[in-house]
Amino acid sequence: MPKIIKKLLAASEEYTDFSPRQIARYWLIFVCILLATLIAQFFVHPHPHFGIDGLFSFHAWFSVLTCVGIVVLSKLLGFWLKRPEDYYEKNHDAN
Amino acid sequence: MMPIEMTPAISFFIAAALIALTRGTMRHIITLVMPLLALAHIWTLPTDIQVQFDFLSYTITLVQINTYSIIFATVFTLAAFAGGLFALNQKRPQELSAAFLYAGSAIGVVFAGDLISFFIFWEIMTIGSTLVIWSADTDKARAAGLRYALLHFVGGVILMIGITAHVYATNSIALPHFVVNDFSALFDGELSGVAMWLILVGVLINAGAPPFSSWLSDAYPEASPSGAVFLSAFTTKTAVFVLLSLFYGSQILIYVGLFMIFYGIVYAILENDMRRILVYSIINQVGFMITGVGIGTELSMNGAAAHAFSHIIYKALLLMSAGSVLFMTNKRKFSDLGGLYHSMKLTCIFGIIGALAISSFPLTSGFISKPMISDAAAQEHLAVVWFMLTAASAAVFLYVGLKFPWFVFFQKDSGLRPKDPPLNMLLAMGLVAVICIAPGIYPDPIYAMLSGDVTYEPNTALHFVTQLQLLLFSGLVFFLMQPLLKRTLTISLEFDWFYRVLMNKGLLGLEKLGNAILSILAKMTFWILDLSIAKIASVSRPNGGLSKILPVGTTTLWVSVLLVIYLFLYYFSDFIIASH
Repeated sequence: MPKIIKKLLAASEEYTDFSPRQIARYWLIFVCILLATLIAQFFVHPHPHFGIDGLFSFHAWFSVLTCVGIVVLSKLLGFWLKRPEDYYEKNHDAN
Repeated sequence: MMPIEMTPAISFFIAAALIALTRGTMRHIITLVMPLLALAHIWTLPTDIQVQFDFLSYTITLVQINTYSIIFATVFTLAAFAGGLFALNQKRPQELSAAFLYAGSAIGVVFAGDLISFFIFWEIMTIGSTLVIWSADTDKARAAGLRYALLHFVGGVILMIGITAHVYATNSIALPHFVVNDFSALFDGELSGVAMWLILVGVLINAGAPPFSSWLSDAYPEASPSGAVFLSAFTTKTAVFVLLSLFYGSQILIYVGLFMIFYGIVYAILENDMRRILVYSIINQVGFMITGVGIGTELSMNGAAAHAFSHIIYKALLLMSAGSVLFMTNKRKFSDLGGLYHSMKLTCIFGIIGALAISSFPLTSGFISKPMISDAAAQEHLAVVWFMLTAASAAVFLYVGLKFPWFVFFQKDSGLRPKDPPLNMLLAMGLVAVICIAPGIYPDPIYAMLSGDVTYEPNTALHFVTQLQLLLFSGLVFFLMQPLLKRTLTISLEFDWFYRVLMNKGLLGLEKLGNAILSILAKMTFWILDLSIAKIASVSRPNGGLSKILPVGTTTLWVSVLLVIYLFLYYFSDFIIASH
């Protein structure tokens, strides 16, 4: 098994209670579904409006790019906006 | 048969009074029957109905059917019915009573045919919703409810000034149509332009538009489990209805909508409270609707109205699912939850259905409404708008569609094993879950309530493939970026920081400054008093100035000086009076 997949599976164990076997199985199913949506594109006729959205698997890679961007942006804004939970209580706002 | 010459809100107002007066089974029957009566009333209204009466010198149109009245009134009634069913085991009757007052006034707004009756129902909504928040009966809810009420009454005053100025400028209380593309109307010196802006601002405050969106995330999560269900349904969507009626085609709404969409996403990603995430997703989803209103074509506006319908239903389902978890565990933070799928199986399934619908998965209600708005943007060749809407549609799955069910029902087991909630709550969730899925399979009844002949075809192979790519790859990002999406025990600052902290500190600072000035003034006063007393004492003592014996000549001199001053003033005042 390639190293990166091993790493991914190990990381997945960190945030679920599924057994390693289950995790491997769910990831496999998930990746198959992802591939299926890509393959399915060969069987539909695209109607691009802006050119770029007619590129192969546009919705897939556009989704990945923008979601990563949004998560990173949120994380950065979080450094500026996040406060401890009792922030307002400590600032005389309890009533 | 109900008297037809009445606003359909009346069933809810009567129910609100009766619920407060009755107990037990009787109250349950009223809670469940009255919304159904209202629904029958709405659906039997003749399309050309005009219920009018004269008030002062105006003709008030209490009921008329506007373009989107029926779809909004229908979904409001459904939400009130489902919310009532969900709240049936709520011990305090005031919440249901307030919720029905709130629902009734929202329905009153959508049938209002003039600015006066619209405004009155609009304000009753604020009262009803504030009472719903207060019904949670906690210190936090009382404080948040007060902030909520204050902000909404400020919004009401702005709206009222706008309406008054508009009526003064145009001499008409008929519902106007404004197009606001930029800020120019504010500066061209016309009263009607300023009036239009004030009305827009008043309505946008209720829509949760920036910068006044923090009331949503401040107040709604403090409501009771059932209270939040009612709150999520009416205020923002009534504002969307009013924008659809008065401001459609206003370009500025496209920018407002897009801002709200991304605002909701960013804050939801940072959030740890499960119901606050759902509230941020209201801002996000209402952003889609407002963008649709701003685009202003029939397709985009139909999309906005249809999406309001879908949204109210799936948001009710999500908040019921979260409310059930809160009801059974008394916990609301993701960091305290997890693994609940072991024991709350039905709640988990309903939560997932709601999450799929909000993400616009194929064969759910979200899929037949939201894409109408982005397709309208594409048809109008609004490239930037379309790309942003598409990106946001992908992110919805990540920030709420996966985040909510994953962190509550799966992730690391919290060890909690609560049971599913009582039967009435499960039935309510089952009912709204059906209305989340049924339109996805058969959208025609929803489309029939929209404007014109809707030929939109959501369930095509192309739509399925592109939407699944968009959502599932967003899901891939969610699982790959878990370390970055870890929940933290934090809140995020919003605009209300300005009036909750900065103004508070400013006032405290002012108080200190005032105290300092007062103490200096007091010191100065005492110093002057001391000085004068010493002076008086020094002139009054034997051989002091006042005790001296003065010659008669000096007295005469002073008397004549006074006389001259008197004469001068006398003639001078005459001269001044004469010159006027």
